[in-house]
Amino acid sequence: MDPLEALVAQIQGLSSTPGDISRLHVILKQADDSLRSESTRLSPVLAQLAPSEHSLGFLYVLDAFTSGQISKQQAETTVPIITGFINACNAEQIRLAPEKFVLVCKRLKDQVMMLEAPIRGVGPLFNAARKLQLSTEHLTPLHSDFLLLCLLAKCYKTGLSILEDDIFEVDQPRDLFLYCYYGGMICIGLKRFQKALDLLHNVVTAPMSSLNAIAVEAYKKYILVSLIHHGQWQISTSLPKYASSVAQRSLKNFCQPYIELANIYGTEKIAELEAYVQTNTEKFENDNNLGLVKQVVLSMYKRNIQRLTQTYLTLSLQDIANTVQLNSPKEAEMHVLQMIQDGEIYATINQRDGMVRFLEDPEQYKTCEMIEHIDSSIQRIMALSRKLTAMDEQISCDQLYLSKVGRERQRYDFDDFDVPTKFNI
Amino acid sequence: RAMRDSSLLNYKKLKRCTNRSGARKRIMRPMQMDLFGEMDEQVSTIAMDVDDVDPLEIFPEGAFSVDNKLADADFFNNFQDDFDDADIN
Repeated sequence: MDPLEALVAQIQGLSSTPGDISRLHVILKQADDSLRSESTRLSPVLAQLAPSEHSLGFLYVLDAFTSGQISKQQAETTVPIITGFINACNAEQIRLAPEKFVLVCKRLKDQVMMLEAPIRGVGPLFNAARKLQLSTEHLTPLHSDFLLLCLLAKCYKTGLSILEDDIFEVDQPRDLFLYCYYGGMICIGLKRFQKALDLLHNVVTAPMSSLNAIAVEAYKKYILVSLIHHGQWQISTSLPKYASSVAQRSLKNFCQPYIELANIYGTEKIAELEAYVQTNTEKFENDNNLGLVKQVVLSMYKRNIQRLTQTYLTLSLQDIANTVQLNSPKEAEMHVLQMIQDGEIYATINQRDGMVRFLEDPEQYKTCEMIEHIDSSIQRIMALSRKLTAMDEQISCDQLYLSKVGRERQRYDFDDFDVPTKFNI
Repeated sequence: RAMRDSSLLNYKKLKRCTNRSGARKRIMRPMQMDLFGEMDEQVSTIAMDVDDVDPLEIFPEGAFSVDNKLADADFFNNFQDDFDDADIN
């Protein structure tokens, strides 16, 4: 009997019970090399297997089938096969061979990018990540690939769905760096600037023994988003103490134009800021950050208008334009309207006399919605506190941690010394 | 143009209210207490240096680069600049 036919029969016969699947897994591992050598004959083999029922066997065959160089034309054939497999496969079976599953999914990512159709991979990679995860707290290598395709396909809202999960388990540091960096970009695209800052903050403060390129790019965006969202960048504060010392020492060296931009932003002089951006346009363009930099400039106009609300109750559009250095009252009106729409100021515009009336924040913090929001925040913080306590207990019992702490502790405590009574203070 | 009380410019916001006689009157909001200002001082002043002194052992070898080059320099970052709001409308 042809070995391939025999293998198909075994896959079909041993995919029903957990015990059978364990036996099948051993057989598949032994057959892995020979499958790869027969990669050109595997297309009909795949046709004989059901992805939902024979998921583990299908995975091994599919991995071998897609292991070689794939041309653009071939990708048109393999992409639907991989997509169909991901959507139909049994999660319990593919979790038995997670590395292979990740490999196959990464090939899908590469192929849809080669076909310049990243959107074709968005849905499948989301499903793949969900099937591979042991829980929503587990970060897989597929999370970052999914977000990458969302960015390329400009499917920002789809990417946000996976960013709502709280991650507590990470297998590889690179997965976390990429997930948080791409996730930060997704949030920037949706103008969820605080969440973007949280994600980018995770990248720049993550443990690293040598400087990471992803952290450098994250830091550039972190500076820009801080200026847009908070309107300030306190250079003297630097990175928090829990950031790695290599990041604290070296990140700024790779981000000087951005540090300088933040310094000029702090002077509140719009003309100087615009001049600096003009002079350094090429640098920001090379980093693909010019759009964000322009948002930084725009945010300064917003800050200046917000500052006016602290001084005046009413102000004409002409006065606003003059004070904030806008070209015309019409431009001032557009800015004010946009800020009202975004909830950045509370104001009304009387178009008849061109007067803006600044109002107080109407939020009284006593609506049902606000109470629900506060309550859910409290519940979330309590859950996080319990999680931290559990993690602290777990680390306290970790062998590696204890051996390191033991090395750094003083060998003897004061109480270990037997001091004669007459010398006791 | 109607101005707010300049003497309280930096710390307070004015609010109009009606006094007993019904006439409008500006009053100051009380200064907001910074309830969390001291929390920053409780953080340890010693920077974390564990990853410089002793490479983390819990990750497999090769996970971190020990030379001076940037680690993960080959990561994909070739996205179109989609964050220029001027493109909208």
